[in-house]
Amino acid sequence: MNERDNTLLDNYFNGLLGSKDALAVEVRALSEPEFSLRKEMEAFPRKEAKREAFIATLRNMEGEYFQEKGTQSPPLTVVRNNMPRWIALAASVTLIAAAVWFFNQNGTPVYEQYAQHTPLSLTVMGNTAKAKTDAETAFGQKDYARALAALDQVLVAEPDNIKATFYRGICILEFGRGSEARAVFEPLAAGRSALREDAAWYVGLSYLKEKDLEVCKVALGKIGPGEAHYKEAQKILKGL
Amino acid sequence: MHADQRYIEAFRSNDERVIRELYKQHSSQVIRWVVSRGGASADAQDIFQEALVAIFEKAQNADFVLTCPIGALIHVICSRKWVDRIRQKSRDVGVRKGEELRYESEVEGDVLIEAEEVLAEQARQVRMRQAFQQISELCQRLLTLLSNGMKAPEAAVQLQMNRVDTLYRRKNACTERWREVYQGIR
Repeated sequence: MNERDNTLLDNYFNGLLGSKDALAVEVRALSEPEFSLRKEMEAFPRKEAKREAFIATLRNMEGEYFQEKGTQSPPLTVVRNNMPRWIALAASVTLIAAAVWFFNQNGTPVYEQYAQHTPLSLTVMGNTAKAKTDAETAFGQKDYARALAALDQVLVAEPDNIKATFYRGICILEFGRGSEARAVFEPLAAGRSALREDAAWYVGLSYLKEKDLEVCKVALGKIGPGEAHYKEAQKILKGL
Repeated sequence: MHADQRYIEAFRSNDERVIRELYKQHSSQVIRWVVSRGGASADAQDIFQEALVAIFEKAQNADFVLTCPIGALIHVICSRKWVDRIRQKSRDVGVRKGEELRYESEVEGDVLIEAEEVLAEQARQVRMRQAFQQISELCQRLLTLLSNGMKAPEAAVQLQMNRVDTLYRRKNACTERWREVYQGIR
């Protein structure tokens, strides 16, 4: 591979070659493994974005056919560094302990006890990689304003990204904009995505945050046995 | 070309309606198969999805043509992935052999060959992905922007590089580093 080959491949992928020259590139890739590899590498990030979209399509429908896992499994994503998750987990444990203490002191459940958000993990490939990384980092740091801005950026490029939509709802809820957050969660809760039960749970939490306890009871009462967050919902219902 | 080539086209165009047909037709069969071998529905979900992603990756090769029923191909790939899971859990060697022999005797040879090709391609893609994740974040961003069709001057501005020449030099260095890491992974 030399500079000329690099330029040739750039021109090939940018559609700047005539059909004869483009065909020559394809023929050459068949006979020269090194050239073939470079050609594949040029196309790889774009293919990864397509792969992400394909996985998102699968995740949209898996809940309909795999009930048990579809409602409980962690998302299928590329995990690049587990350290922030451990930090988040440790933070969650601390928060839960604090919440238990708080609950014992007061008796009535409050939003902060149950708002233990799962760390955001988006597949960071494609042309929104930077925004996704920013969103993950900011969300992990509870910087919901920055996370929201980054998620909005992701959603401009990927309006059907359900996970980004869902976490956008959490950010809005953290700002105390309950009805706006429900406008995000309720369609998800009524849909068939893998996040529908999580969305239903957050609808209930949004009312708890607003201390609208009667409506909160109704919302949490809709979470049935076997569904995600059933036990937590029951715990809140008993405390209200 | 098999009539099920239309599923390959659906994978290429991310056609949800057609992909859904695969779930309707084959997911329950895979669940039954996995559960009958002591697995859980969650295992079935994982391997079914992994199998579809593996076929998707193979389908990205423009010259890939399906020559066998896609249901048989999915079943063989799921079987292989199930055996891999058993291997990872270090179960009894005899059980593993039994599992392999059982599914290999159930299907036609051309399905097995096609499955091997799909799995080999997936393994290659995994290596490529692992290598990509090992290069610098700047390299990942640069290569992703250009691969997604962003013009070089625009990418240079986004990456705060003064000149397009710098961008290209960096791109070549990034690609070279990526190639070295890729070839170092075995």
